[in-house]
Amino acid sequence: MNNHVLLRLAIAALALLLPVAAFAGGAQEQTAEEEPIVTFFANSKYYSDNTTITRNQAFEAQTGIKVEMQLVPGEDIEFYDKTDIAIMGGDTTDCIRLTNPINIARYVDAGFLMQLDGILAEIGYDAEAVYGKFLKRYDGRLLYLPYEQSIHSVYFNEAIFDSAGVAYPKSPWTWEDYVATAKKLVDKPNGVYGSYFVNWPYYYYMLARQRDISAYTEDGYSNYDHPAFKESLKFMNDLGSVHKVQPTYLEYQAKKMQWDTWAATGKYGMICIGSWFTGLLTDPVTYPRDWDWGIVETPAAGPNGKNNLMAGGVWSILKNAKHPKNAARYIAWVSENSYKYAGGIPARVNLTPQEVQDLLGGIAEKSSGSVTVQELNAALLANTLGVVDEKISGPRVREYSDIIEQEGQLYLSGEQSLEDTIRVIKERADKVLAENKT
Amino acid sequence: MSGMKARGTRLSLKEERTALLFIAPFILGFLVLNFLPLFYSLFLSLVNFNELGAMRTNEFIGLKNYVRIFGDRLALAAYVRSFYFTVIYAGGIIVLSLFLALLLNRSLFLRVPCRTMIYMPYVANVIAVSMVWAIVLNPFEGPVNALLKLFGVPEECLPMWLLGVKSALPTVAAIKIWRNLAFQTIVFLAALQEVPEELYECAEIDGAGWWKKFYRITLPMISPTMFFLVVVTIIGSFNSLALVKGLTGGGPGSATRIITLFVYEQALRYSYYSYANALACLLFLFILIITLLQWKAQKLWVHY
Amino acid sequence: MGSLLSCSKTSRLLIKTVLSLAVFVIGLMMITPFVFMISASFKYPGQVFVEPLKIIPDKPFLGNFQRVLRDDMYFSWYWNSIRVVLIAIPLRGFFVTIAAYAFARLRFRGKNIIFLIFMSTMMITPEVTIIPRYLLYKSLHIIDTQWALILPATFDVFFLFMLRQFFMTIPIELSEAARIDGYGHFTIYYRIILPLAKPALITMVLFTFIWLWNDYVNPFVFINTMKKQLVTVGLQFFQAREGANYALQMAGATFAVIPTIFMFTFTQRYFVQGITSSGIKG
Repeated sequence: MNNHVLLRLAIAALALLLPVAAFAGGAQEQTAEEEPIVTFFANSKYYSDNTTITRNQAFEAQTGIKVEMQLVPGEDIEFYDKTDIAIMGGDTTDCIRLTNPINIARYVDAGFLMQLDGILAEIGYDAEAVYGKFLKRYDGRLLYLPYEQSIHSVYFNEAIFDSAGVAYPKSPWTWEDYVATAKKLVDKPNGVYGSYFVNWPYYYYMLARQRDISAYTEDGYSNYDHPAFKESLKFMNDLGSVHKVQPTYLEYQAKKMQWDTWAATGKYGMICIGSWFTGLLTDPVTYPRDWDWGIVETPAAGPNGKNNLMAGGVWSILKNAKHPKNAARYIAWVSENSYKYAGGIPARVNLTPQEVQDLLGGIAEKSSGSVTVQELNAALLANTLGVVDEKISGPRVREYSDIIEQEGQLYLSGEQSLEDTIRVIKERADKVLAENKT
Repeated sequence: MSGMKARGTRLSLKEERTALLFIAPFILGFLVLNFLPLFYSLFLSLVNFNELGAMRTNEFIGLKNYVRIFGDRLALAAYVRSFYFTVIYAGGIIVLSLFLALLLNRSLFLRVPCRTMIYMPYVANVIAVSMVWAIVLNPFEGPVNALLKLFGVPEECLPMWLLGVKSALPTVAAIKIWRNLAFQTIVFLAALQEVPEELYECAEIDGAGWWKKFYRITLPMISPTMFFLVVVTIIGSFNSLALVKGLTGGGPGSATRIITLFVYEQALRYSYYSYANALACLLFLFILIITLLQWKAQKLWVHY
Repeated sequence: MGSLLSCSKTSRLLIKTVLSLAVFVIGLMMITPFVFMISASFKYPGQVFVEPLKIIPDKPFLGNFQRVLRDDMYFSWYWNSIRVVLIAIPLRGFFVTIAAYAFARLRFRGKNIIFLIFMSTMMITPEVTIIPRYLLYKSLHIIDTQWALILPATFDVFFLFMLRQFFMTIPIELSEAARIDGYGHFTIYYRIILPLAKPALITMVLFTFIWLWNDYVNPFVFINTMKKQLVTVGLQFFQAREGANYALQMAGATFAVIPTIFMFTFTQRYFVQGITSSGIKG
């Protein structure tokens, strides 16, 4: 019997040792010299995109540093599920591209991002000169470089305007003008709507953002009872339910409409969305269309709301990076030059007029004559509006956004009144923010 | 069983040794791969690992995470929703699959193709399933509501299926039943094969009708398997993450935010890892109690 | 269910017809998403939702399948999935059945307690233990290998439970008789119990196959290199890459579903009445 007892003890001991090994396993090797490699996490779409491959090749040609992508299959949330776990487990990938302000905030708070000032100085790069006002500092620390600014504009389907006999929208204009125009475009029998908004929660507070009203009060609680938020939520609802210029929320959900439905079906007059959307409109292979599109700047939300929504993607170096210097060179280069390959508008303050011309000219060309450089310039760069973040930012922002989304959904599907929705959002958000303070 | 006792202690020791040999590899593999994470989960629920990246700075805070659960209205609601879901789902599927297994056990025309058709939902891609049901249950234009309208149901009474706050959860349960029917049915079918023909023949000679045969022969003979299915179905009903995410994402509002989805969000969306583990451990406790009760109740209805 | 001696031949036929019809209708209802899936794989990407109930598209589009088949990664994913399944099934088959036999037939101290402890592990939400498991497997150096999927699957409690129940329904007289004849436990296990539990074993094989084949979360987290990935995750990569190209995804999914259909059809014959005799008379 002794053998059995010993055997059992051995098994138990082995089992208990493993957690210790698990913690110890995270030790990292330090290399004195960096190999000429740089790695970064890429999601499926990015990984297989032709522009990514071309861009990486250009970088390699210019610097001699090889680019290796660490593929993470999955979009948005799943992408971060994987990277969260990997980074916590001590993964040594160098860089990461963060596209959503909420994810940027998460990684900043988690301390995953490397301080850039030191390493950029080491390679002799002056970020201020290139990105100026687009740089965001956290307690004076620079944690990422912005590679694009995505500005909202209104894109419109010229064919629908033509057949309704309505003049193309002109800036500057307001949301009342937008609704009035949309009403004229509606053609129920043919399934044509005047407007389309993707069901993204940040539109629920769009008007408030345009007036630059913060979602947080001075002492860090929820500011959602400010009338601007109520007005904004009501506006989204009314577009479908009252003015009937676009599908209602329930219809949208029932038919599982998507973010690219506007470009794919051509049955909606206008859409207000970020400038990355031009990517779809210049891709005739995936989104074939037989209609021309136009662009005009975003409507203002009243006299105090003359601001445009902006978001932007960033590149940063992860704290466990194996090749920090190469990583710095990479993110500096890619943040400056990304737009040349993937389109979009760079977040740079030092572009020459010629470079601007080239940038917009490229889009105009690929749109097969739908828009001209002047129109693009007027809508995207030289517009009459100021600029605000498209999403709220502050403590516990992910939960706050989820609360807004969940309660907003209840209101939009007719299950909860507007007043109750606002009240519940504030209550829930206050509770979360109160916890945050302890 | 008295014959066994007479053999003496030496043989029972040998039996123990054999038993140990038989289960040792399983225990080892199981301990290392599947059991350790549980302990870690318990450990995590007792510390303050509630932020992304804070892993090396755990401070022991005892039962604070658990206390927090009881103050969290949303978490409690999620538990209640899950229990409600389990009752509908487990009850529905056991009854339906037994019925289906009995049906399929007979000789029928086209039996093999029918069986194969019934198993299909089980292997269909979760995305395909979500899309199809979204279309079929479209409250405005879908075929189901169109059919109901034809039968004279007035417009306001048409159910909103997946989009209605009250109807979403039962609808998801029904879809899960439809999807998983294959598994329970096949297991019941396998169990039904084990029932010896002779027992039925003897019963018929004694003049028993179909209900008596079912109640006196079939049910007792398959009761061990049924016990298995009841236990695992209840446990499995809490794990509907992929399906719920695909069909409703937890909505509308939080109508279908069952506890596993809630836990997932707490852990991977908000990075409240310790809180999520506490929620999971509490859920584990509930399920354990339910299972223990069932285990004890075996004596009442399970025949070995 | 035995013969209904008291009913007339015509009423028996009537019952059979009605029941067959009922089952057929049920079958049709069950098969709908499947039909949708196949139909969508032949459509143009934008067309999938436009007229979803149109099963046969006006202009069938083979491009989706071409893309799937021409993809060099798809083949490696497929092969990886097959490999995982082919290794896991025999491993699980051996370790689980032998342990189930011990729990069902042998007596030893602490049997019930150990079994309950095993069962308790089924009650924790897998998503929550994902991080502990990742760290554990990392220290065992099985991350980014298929062993991270095969090994946990081998020591699975679910089928231990199921097989124990099945083994317990096999009449104890059989094993008693063999013991009296002087056979050891392993022989009894191998020669008597296993053959009699064929339907249960086949069930285990079938569902192990399906669950491993359709598993998404575990390969996603534990395998990093795309080339080593399994079909489920690979498909996701496919879909994410193409944006919301549901048609392409359906084509990939249709392809991936073929082995599971094959398994179902192939194992059907084991669920027919009379395959196993009770063995008491013999």
